[in-house]
Amino acid sequence: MDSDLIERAKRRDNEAFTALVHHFGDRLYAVAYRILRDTSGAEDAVQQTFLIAWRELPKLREPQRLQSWLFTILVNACRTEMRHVGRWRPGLRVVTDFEPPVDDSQRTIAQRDELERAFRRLSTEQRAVIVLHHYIGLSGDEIGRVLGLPAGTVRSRLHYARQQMRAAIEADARAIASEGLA
Amino acid sequence: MNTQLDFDRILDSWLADGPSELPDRAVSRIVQSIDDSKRGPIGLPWREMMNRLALAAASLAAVVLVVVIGFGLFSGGGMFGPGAGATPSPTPSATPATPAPTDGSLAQGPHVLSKTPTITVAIPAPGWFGELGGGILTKNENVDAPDGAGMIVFAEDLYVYRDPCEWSTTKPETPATTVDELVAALSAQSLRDASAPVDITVDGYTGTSITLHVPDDAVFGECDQGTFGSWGVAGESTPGRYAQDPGQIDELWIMDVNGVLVVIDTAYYEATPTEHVDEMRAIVQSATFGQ
Repeated sequence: MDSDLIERAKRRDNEAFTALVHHFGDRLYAVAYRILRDTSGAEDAVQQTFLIAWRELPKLREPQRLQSWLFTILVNACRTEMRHVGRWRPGLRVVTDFEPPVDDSQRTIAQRDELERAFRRLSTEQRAVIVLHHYIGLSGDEIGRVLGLPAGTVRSRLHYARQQMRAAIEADARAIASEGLA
Repeated sequence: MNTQLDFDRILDSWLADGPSELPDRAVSRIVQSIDDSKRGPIGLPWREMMNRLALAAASLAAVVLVVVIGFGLFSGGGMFGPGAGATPSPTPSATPATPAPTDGSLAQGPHVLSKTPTITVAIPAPGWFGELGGGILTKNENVDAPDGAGMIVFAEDLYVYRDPCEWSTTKPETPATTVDELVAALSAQSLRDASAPVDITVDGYTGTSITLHVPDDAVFGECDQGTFGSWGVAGESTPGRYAQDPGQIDELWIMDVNGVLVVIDTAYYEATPTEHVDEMRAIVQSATFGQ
């Protein structure tokens, strides 16, 4: 990222900030969608992120940490959006509003549904850790800086979230088997 | 279930699916909001703006409705016909139902915590979040130091590591399959400062409670894969139960339920509020077991 562009954006240069929106917008949206599992909520979270960034950017002392800083704001915005979207209740069949690629030889639809159901049972914080690690590829230290947590706590939270997902998937599988549903 | 590595690959692949481009309309809204902010208050996301407008409209409508009803009640036979000004007969007030939590937490009362065997518990207070069916409950979704609290159920034979830090090389050949075997293995686990076992009874099933401790100065980064592991389960190469943070206290309730070794691990810290620990114990003691 061009440091001169960031400095101009910090000085409230519209054109420079718009360039940042174009540069980071897709990635922030991708992360927000994967946390919220909702396209409208993800759009709102990203919009809120950039509005706060516009207001607070002059205070950013380490321009090289801009992406981490934006992720921090985004996770908070997602937390707010989760309260608006409401919690998913177990027992309902989840239908996402995104159509996966037609050629889906790697996974069955049932497996994707299981993952969706299990993921939606996680808290915002747990979802953020999962997405930042598995989708963006951030390390425990990097996620810790985004979320303001010690790296050890991030690793523990990641373990715990994955364990919860696996437990949820296994519980669903046992429930379906015992009810005789295919 | 697949190994942890397989699960991670599946998770990576699943997360790769999904939209990854911010729609042009959203970019335009952001840019427009930035422009508008230079002229006035920072714009709101469009859904929140619509919600606030709807709320304002509803508030205005409510005010109008109150005015209309008030006029009808006090106008002595006016808009609602004769007798509208008479003293209305009191309507019996129903006992208000306890509203369901709006934060996603579990309502107070019975819930199925785990299956095989089925374990039903009573949630005694607000703030409990659950992975129902998966055997996990957390207080305020916080299981971390310094004041978290949470519980997890295992209903299977367990491989108790002799050393929770060097777990990858201290896993026993055979698992503990009885209450006595498990208690003995846990009492002997290094670094845990295990308490003396205490007899317990839950739903008529007798068993043993034992409390383990994670050293306050434990450095998880120096342990195998950065994990302080208590025990493993069949079919998995990494710990099935591991500590969240140094200083964690694990109060284990161990029972044989119709031939199945059941462990309810209630975890907390020295700084966890006493009432949260008491709530966890109450949850365990409320447990009833089915098939």
